[in-house]
Amino acid sequence: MKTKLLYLVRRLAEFVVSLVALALVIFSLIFIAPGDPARVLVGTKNATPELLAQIREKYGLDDPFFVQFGRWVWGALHGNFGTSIQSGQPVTEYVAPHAQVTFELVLFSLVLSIIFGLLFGVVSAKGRGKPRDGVISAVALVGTSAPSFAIGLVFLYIFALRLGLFPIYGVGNGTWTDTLWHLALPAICLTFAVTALIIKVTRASLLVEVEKDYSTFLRARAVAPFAITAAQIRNASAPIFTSTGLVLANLFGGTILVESVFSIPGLGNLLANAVTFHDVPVIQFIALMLASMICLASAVVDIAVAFINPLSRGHRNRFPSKAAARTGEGMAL
Amino acid sequence: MNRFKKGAGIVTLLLVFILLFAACGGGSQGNGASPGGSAPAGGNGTGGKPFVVGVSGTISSLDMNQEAGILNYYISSISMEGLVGIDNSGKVIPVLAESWKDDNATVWTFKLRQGVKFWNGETMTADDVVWSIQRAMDAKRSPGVAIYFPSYVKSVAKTADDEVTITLDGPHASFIWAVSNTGGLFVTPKAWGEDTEKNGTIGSPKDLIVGTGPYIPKEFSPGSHVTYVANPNWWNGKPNMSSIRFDFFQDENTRLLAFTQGDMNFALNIPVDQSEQWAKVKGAQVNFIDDRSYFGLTFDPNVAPFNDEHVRKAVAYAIDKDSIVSGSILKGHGTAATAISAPEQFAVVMSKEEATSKLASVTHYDFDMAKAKAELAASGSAGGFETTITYPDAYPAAGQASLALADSLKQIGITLDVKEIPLDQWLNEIGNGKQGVGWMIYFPTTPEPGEIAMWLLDARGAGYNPANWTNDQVAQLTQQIMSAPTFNDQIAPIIQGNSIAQEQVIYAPVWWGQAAIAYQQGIQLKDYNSYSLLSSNWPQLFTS
Repeated sequence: MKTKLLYLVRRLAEFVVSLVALALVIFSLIFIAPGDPARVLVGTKNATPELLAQIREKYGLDDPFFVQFGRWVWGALHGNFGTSIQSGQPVTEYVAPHAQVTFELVLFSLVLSIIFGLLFGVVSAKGRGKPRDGVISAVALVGTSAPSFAIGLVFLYIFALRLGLFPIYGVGNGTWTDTLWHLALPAICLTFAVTALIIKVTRASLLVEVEKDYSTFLRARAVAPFAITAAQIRNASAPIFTSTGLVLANLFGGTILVESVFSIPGLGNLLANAVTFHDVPVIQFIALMLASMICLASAVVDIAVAFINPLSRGHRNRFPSKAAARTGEGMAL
Repeated sequence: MNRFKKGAGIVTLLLVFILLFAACGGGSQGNGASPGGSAPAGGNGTGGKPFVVGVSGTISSLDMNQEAGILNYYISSISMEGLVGIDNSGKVIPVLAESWKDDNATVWTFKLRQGVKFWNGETMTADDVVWSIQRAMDAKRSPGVAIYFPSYVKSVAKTADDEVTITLDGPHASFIWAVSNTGGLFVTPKAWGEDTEKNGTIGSPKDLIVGTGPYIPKEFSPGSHVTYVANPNWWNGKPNMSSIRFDFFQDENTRLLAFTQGDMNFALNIPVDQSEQWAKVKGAQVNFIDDRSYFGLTFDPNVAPFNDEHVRKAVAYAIDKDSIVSGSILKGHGTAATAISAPEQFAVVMSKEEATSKLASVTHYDFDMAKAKAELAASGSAGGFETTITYPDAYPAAGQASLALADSLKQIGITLDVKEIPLDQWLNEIGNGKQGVGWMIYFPTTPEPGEIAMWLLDARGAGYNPANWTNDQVAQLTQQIMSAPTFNDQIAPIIQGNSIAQEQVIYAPVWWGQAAIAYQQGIQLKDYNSYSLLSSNWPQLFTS
């Protein structure tokens, strides 16, 4: 129990250090990037140097780097992430509705990715060398290679405009059925782009398990094929879980283009807009929030993998003996 | 069937469910109330369905004092009101002030309209107006509009229950635009404004905005849409539409697909290079109008080699404006510019024909490669040189025009590197003293004849104009424009100052732009021009 607790504490510490480092890096990058929020607010209108100076003063833009960063950290520690330069609203209030939309989209897409990734990965592994294996690999390759905005436009043209199955844009009127309907096509589009990873990992992991002695033994004992496949999936679950964490990161990254194509008012759209307007507090908050989500998901995945397969916990926290690890004892059947 | 196949069957069923769900249209098919419904919006704003306007880009706040881009103005003009506004021809009209007098354009006294109700039920008072003006004057509270209240505004005071007096340091005819909703004034109730301003929620989806105009914001989702409903208590009668919704698009292709599907009634500012595709939509009408925008080159005379007038002239002669306008770049949707201000910018004082004639008299350089070569030969950089021009990613036509210019300049030994940069970076480069040549792109909002000229010709030196140019004579002329007692008095110094600037090739105008709109079959739009979308209650121009 103590080792489990230590493991969790270590992961939490890594998580906090990662966030602080990330905050510093993002703040530095925005600081050195060319662009002046005061000028962006005024646009090409005739602003005197005095007027621009007043706007900069309001947002503390002329302060030295560490003063600005320190002020931001102090505020963040007190739950105040600043004011959006573009909208003039508190960042948390400004970002919250966008975050909700993106989390719904990503969750929807993650569920689809896991379902289709596992299914096609298993089908591909079980049919190694057969046409279905080739077809799945080819489709997965297209999904990985094609830019998601291009896939999005093709999907929109076929499924929304021509077939009329889905709406073209927006998130609907707020009821869950309408939201689901509006998010379905963008979620499928995102899924198409990231599922290849789960398919490939599932296929590769499963092929290793198929070759193992216990699989031969189970087949020889005439155990039902589904039970054998289930056992193989359980034993191959560690890399599959890990790939799911990666997929989550890719999904958040993919939302920027997909939200733009489907006119979804999510974090991706907001982030792109904030970058255009050099809205530093908003960029900083979104980046950290996404990083937190990805770090958290990664930690959850690692912990889950550790509990599924104790071998992956590292030397100090290893639960089974080395001998057991060598023989494969303790693998789930 | 084994259990593995059952698993596959479940997933297949899931797919079928998604498709069936889609076929059933989710939860809101055709109600027209939510953005992106599968059924055509079809609303004309009178029968319960909203009149849907598809716009490119988004707004982040309904508070014009905070964010005042051209899109904010278009949207806000159906809702927020100032003391004055403009009609469809750009003429000043009384709005919340029923009348006014200006003592030699110095002491402005506005008689307020009585009985005007804010949407929250409060009656508008002089205190509300004074508070709104004072807020607009404060750059920290109103970064979007404070530029309209320069230092010449000396005082703002309530001088009677129904009267507000604004005193300037001298005559300034152009001040009238400051108190219009095409410039810097959007009257909100003082108590509500103070409260929401303190909370940082003014103009947000939570508190929206409170004003007096014909349409009341009902719902606002930045990045998605903003919905307005008619104000039944509007002081000027009943608005012609019951509901208007602006849907925001980030991707032009998606907007075109949505228009094709019939999800919107009206699309603003469609891209010129896509206009043919929009016109192919069944029954759609595409209109182009001169939008008074200015696209031109700015030369910083303090940056080598552009500190040499011959170099600047060489570049000016190498701009093939006619080809840019009539060729594949603008496809005829623009006008080769002879000066900074477009002719329509003078609409409050003269006809377009008269303005065109006056602006043609401004010194300008027509495309002539022989003269370009001769000018370069006479310069201190006769052997040619290499330089860079940047353009904002939001304006690809400027990039294409830059490439055309680079081709011409190559013939005389000047290498022009063309770089696309993000909009914010480009804005930051304007007048930064490092760029020898750069683009100036300007979209006027007011009908003020000197709106662009008062900035570009403010030749007091670095920081006052985008070229960091110093010229005492032109600086004095600009002061004359700013302190002119009437709009007519502005024209002569604008023309004279503009001539000097172009004679010295500080600016090389390239084109005056056009904007395209598209609307669906069955909709009529009357007298549409560059002032229409800024005029008070512009939805009245639409009939079905």
